[in-house]
Amino acid sequence: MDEYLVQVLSNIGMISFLALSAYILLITGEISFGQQAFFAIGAYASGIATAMWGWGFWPGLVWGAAAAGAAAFLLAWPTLRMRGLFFAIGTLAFAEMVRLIFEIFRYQVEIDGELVGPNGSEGFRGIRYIFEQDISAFHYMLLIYAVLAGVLALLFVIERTRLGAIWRMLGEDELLAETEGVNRTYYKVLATVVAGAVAGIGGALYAHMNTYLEPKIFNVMLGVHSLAYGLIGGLGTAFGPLIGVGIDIGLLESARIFSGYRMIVFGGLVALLLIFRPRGLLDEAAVHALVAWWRNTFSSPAKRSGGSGRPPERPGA
Amino acid sequence: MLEVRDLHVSYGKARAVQGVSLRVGEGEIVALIGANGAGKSSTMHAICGVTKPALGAISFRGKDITGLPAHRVVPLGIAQVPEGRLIFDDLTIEENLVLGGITLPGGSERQRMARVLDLFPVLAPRTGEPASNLSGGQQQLLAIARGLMSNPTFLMLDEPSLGLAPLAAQEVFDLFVTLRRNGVTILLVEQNVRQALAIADRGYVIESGRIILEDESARLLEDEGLARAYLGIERQ
Repeated sequence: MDEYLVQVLSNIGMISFLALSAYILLITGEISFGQQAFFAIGAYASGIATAMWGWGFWPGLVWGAAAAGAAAFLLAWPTLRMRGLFFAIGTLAFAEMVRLIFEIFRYQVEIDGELVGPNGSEGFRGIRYIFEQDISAFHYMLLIYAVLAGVLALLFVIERTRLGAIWRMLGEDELLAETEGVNRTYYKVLATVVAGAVAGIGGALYAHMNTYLEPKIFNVMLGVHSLAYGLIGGLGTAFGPLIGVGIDIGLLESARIFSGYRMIVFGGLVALLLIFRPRGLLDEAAVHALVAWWRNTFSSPAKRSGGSGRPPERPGA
Repeated sequence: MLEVRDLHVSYGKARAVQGVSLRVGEGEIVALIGANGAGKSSTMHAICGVTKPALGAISFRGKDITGLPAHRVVPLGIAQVPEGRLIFDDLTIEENLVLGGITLPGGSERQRMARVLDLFPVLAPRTGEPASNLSGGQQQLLAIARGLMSNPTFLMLDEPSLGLAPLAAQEVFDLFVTLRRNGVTILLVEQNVRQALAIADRGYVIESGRIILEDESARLLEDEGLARAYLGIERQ
């Protein structure tokens, strides 16, 4: 496989975690401009674990996800009392704070006569686990997609359970959900933690592919993009944000036909979609129509006519 | 069954409810009547735990539920049908109903749905259709059906006849009589005074956050002041 293609596909895979992270919050009705902070925390935490503490890759990945999830839990308490715009601004402030902390965060140890570890704005060099284990870029790409498939499968299961229905219900109408007996705080905190952990996994994968982390890449634009992916691709299913990532990174950034005009085309695309399809290409109505079409086309005639015999269907599935 | 004593609700400096006391007996239909901004909805929100009261006490079946959050009030058998229908257009009727009992164990869902649909012959044959196919009156019926999915013994409704044609409204009010026969106690918040009092046992009139009148429905309908203020009738 072409080296450039592997790199582009790996990027798409990693950024997908960030897009899914923003998506989880979007379906519960919250707009976060700060998911890049959890991506950064996951990246640093897992990098520290493998490069400095000598952990293996998988424990490092889990540790990165856990650290990001824990940070999200801490953020959830103060910010979920804010609603709408205030939550968006709160998360933005948090993410900038995290980035500035990494700008001054120094924690280095000497390994084989060389200082390894985060060195403030100089960045964090030497996350070499993947190279030391002699894993090729192609194999690492496959690994990224295997993890992504796992996270996607988990999200699909969630969307088919009561948890998914409750998240979407909160996103549609919080007051209504509350009057139906939904514990708003609990489910919103849970969504924030899951979203944080998913971003953390992406960050951990990013750290080990790049071997080098720099605080400034975890800036606001990364968060804005990850929000836009869900809005472009659609909020009806977890595939939506992936379509958004594919369009932006696959087409606009990597195909180079738009070279210097990427942001102009991207911004225009977002504006057009907000006008014509405010909940993205694969929005809830589109997903419903697709599911119904699938049932009518591929299920047996007996099932098609009845309707009473089919299993209970969950919204948002 | 429900007792509210000296309830106060404030939003910042705005005092929405200033000392409301009311009582709903088991099996009763009670109407809470008042103009926009009189404090009807705030009273309801305080009862079901969406809003925390600033002062006062609320008890349900002898248990103090003052300030209890909604997710702990609903399991006690209290359900609220909020104002403005608020059904999910894109979802089917069945999916809308599922959301109503979402906090209850899924195992009993089929059974609960069958029981609820028994009361709604209009909805029962159409469960697979999107809710947007329903007329305004039918959507209100769906909102009420969704409220019943959590097995309530006490149902509160916020202006269920709002925006409905007179015939559709009548259908909704008739349903309350059926529900009562099925053992559901009802607190009805309404501006549609005549129709509400026609089915209610008793009524409370709320104005500027205070109860100004309280009586049996028939007597309230006779009341001069109420007639002038809410029914638009001048009697000689």
